[in-house]
Amino acid sequence: MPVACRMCGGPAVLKRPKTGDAVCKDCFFYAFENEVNYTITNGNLFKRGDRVAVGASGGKDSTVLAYILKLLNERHDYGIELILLSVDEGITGYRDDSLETVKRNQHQYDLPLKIVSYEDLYGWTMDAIVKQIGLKNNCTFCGVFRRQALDRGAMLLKANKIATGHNADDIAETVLMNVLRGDIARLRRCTAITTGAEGGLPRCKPLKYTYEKEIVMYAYFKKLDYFSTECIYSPNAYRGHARTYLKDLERIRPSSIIDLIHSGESLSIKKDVKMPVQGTCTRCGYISSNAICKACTLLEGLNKGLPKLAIGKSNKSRRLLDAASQSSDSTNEKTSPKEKKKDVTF
Amino acid sequence: MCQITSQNDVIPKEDCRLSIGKSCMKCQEPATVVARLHDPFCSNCFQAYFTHRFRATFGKSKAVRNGEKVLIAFSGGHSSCVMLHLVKEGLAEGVHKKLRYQPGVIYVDENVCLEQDEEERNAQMRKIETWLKESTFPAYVICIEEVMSKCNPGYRLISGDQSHDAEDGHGNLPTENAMKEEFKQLLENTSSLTTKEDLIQKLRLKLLKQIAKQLGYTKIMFGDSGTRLATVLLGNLAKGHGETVHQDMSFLDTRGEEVAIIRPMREFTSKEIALFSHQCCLQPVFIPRISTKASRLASIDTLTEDFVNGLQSNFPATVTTVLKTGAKLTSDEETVGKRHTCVLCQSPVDSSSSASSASAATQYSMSLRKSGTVYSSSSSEPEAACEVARDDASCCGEGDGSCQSAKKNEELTSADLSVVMCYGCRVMMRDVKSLDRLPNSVLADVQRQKRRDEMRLEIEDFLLDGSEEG
Amino acid sequence: MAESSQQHIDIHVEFSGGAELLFDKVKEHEVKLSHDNNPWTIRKLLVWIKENLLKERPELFVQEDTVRPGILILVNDADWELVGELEYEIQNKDRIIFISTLHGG
Repeated sequence: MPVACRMCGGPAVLKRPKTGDAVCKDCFFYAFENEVNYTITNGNLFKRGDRVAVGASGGKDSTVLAYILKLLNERHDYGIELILLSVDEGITGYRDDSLETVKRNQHQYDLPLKIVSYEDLYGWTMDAIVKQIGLKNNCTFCGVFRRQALDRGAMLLKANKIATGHNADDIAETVLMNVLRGDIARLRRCTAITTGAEGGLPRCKPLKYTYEKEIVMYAYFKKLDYFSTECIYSPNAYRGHARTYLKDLERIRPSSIIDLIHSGESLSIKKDVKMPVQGTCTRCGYISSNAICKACTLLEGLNKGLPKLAIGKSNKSRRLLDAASQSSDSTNEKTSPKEKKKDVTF
Repeated sequence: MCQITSQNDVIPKEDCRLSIGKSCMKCQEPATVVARLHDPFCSNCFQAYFTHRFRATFGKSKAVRNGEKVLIAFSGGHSSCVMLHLVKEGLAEGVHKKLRYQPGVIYVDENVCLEQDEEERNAQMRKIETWLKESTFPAYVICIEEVMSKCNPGYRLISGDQSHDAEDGHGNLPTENAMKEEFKQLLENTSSLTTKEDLIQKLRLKLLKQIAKQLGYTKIMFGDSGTRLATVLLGNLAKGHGETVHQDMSFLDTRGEEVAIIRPMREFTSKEIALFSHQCCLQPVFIPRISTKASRLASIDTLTEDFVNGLQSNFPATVTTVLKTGAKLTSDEETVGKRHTCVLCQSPVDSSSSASSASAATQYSMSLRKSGTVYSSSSSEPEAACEVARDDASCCGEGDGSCQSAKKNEELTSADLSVVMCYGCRVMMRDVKSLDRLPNSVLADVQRQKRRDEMRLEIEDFLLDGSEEG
Repeated sequence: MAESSQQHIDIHVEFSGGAELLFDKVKEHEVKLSHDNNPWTIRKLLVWIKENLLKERPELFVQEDTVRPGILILVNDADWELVGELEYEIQNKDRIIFISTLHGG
């Protein structure tokens, strides 16, 4: 005898990872879409007239995000304008295929698409960066650059908001990572549903409470076209441990993911703990807790041929870089075209 | 999804070859242990460092007053043996910076949670009692099931002060079988090992606080190592206890007002403690617990312990970093005094979640569940069955909710729980089939808080703005 | 198997802190290791223990090629980190102690 759908009594086809309920396909869609709508309305993510850049990587999260935002915007009349925004990191064999997926999405969902590349923004592709520094710290570069790339792309599009596909698993993992790394400033920020309101463009995460597994299920049952592959420059081992731990937690108690986010949301920082002061980068104007932002520091390291110096703690790498540039002014000149290129962009 | 990773703040272990044949960082004798991050010590310097650090913890915090009665919770493991050993040494005459409090020591017998061989258990108890007697402090043994007691919990005095016996309800009596049975029932009606472990831990703490109060102790000293506390912190994050993780690992934990907790062993990793214990030839007593020999995926605790130990062996700063992070956290100070206290863990109950939050999102998901026509749930799925039972206040909480018999504590529903339990404990209670099996003291607290809320509601119109009498 | 030129090394192996539960609750073991041409390292000893002494749940004692994190090893009362961990060459009459520091033992 087939299991009955918990919501309508019809034949169930899946078990919701989030609640453990057996449900039919239609009730799953109903619940999934309503939950995302609830997150959007309850968290005041959008206002009528907003121009929203949707970070689109071609992966499952952003594909589902683009699809569901389009759907909900029409169904509930949010009155917002959606534009797909893709970042091309310049990783041969990885981004090429996923960008093709985004281009197909553009037609499937009838949404405009803008692609910005690292090469345009920074003068370096990820392939070129990896060639310089090897596989050890490349994720640091990519992550820092991507964060700014979305903002810069969105500004080009004259968007006033960015929506990203971070799901519940991502947020829970970030809470965990920030505790393990002792990064108290990020720990406080990372569970906010909208961030960066002061300074950069506000970024929101409509899928913040949506389980990764449910996103995959939704994409599967909706037959959404997405590109699924791991980045060829594989992520670091430490985060891998955290991810495995999280997946195992979910196996033991499925609500752990939401419970971890709840924990993250209810943390407060002691008043006497020194927090970095957010200012703006003196070079590019992007928000930064240091005089020169991480992206500019990394870029300077790359351009001076000393990329490794720039990876550590910002203050320390600053000193090292300054010391290095005093000893060799010639390298500075050699790389100036690339720096100029970046300045031209913004 | 790839995110910003600054892996540099994570310190990996240096090549082990670097430690070979190192000499002591203090005296240049050949080293026998590697403590802290990478520090080699010889045995003498290690013991001196260890003892100094233990005493300094008390000096630094000033949490324990002169002459204060402190109850040492002794479990028989490495850490509590070392702790008891150090307290004893610290109180000896002629010691520099003598510790100045009055210790007692207590062992909580959790045998009811396990089916153990009688002979083996007796051998363990003899060893425990030897430790207790040799401490020279007033020493007590109490059974965990005493938490079910309707009056003051009974205990067994092993040595020392007899004066309390007279006033005690049924002191010195063997534990009543009824309580044993009730406790077993509670565990049997708990569906996951995670929740069993948590229930035992929370009830043990509740019992210890009761007995400490009864015997006039104002502090309880626990032997949790830094490694253990880092594990507890991460585990509690995963269980939704985020708001109070800073108290779970602090030296002084004042939740519950009357009896506070201190944790002097938090300064040390479990490795340092085992090494110290070995060097001092202490003879810990190994007592199996409910998670002994359990696999990694058996519970959130076993998984988290595995995770922390795995990280620690590759990144020796893991434990200290996690504890440092915890030390920078606090509760939401603006609201904390105005909120109810959780009847199980004495943490503040999470304020009602109207804003965008994980708990609001969860409630919304649960409400969607009922929006369709709820199909008559087959009681084959235990979770579904208990859901029905809890939603239906007129049921006994067993079976499919059709019996309509009134419960012992009539109105105890999941809605009540949201008022008197914190988020994390509510998550835990999903695994407990019948709430009525909770200890009477807990149920009484639930009713008391409910009545107070009702009273407050009645007189609300007459209260002046902002008046709050806790 | 029994070679004529065979030599033995005798070592003392001890399990405590709950680790003994996986060895039929026997804490102390006097072990004779036959000496072939390759020296006995801790790495090799772990494999030998797994095959010869361990009674149940090997994953609770060894993981991959090393000891489960949380189980401490002492060689003649010294932290194994000081003698080269897995690569330490075991000598005749060595005392090798495994102490579990895990909560459940």
